[in-house]
Amino acid sequence: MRAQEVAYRFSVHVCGHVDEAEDVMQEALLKTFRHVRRIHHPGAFRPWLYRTVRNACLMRRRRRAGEPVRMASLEELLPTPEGLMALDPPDPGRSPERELTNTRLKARMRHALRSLPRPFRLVVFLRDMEGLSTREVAEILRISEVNVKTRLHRARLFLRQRLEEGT
Amino acid sequence: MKRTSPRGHHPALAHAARSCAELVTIISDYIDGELSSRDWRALEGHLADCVCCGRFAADLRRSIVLCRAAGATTLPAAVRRRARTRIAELLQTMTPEPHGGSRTVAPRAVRSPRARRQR
Repeated sequence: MRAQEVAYRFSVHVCGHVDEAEDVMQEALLKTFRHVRRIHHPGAFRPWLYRTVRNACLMRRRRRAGEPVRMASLEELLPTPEGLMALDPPDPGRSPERELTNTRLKARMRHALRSLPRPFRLVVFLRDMEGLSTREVAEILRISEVNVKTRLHRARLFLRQRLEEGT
Repeated sequence: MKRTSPRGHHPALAHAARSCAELVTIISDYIDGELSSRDWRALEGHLADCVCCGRFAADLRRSIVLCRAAGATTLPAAVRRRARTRIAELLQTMTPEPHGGSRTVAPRAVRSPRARRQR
């Protein structure tokens, strides 16, 4: 794991302010360099780094215009029989049509991610984008594993619905 | 702790007659492999029989794959270079603390990268 890359991805996807991502990344890395010697257990570094970047993001917290404050209820996120779609997954194949579809879908996914309330966006980022375990995410965010699972499930339903709306 | 019904199943799977909406609540656990093998088999059976739920599970799985792909962001080389330079500058202004950390002596003397870009 490269601390710089983690910090940059986190800043771009979770903080959502692309113009501030570089500053947030640098603040987090600086803090990491200053305090890394205090971390004695090797497994403690990764959660510590994610928490540090999250704190750097929160320090600069400035809600963007249009950033949601409320998450849709579970009922609002459930699929309707007529609304089920067939998403094209990103495909390693290189046909131009396929690439264009994948690029559009990824752009739509990034847009959908930005419209998730931050606590949900954090869980999706750590769990689905970074591939951390439920236990690790719970440790980083200092919430229960049940809470991680609940947020993740709702966030996934939300993202699926947003993509469906765009098809 | 896993929630189970008196018959040992997850509550959403306790009765065959449960609605699809209830089964949807555990589809993330199914995708993440966090259901017991018994519940997994029961849900797998339902997904094979119910076109709507089967399609929904496939869509959700695909959107997770898409999310992972959308998260693949490359750190630009220029950003990496600027970060190294700035951190090196800041580390030079620090003095070690007795417990192994360090303290910034004059952090305000160094401009943030954004301030520099704006100059």
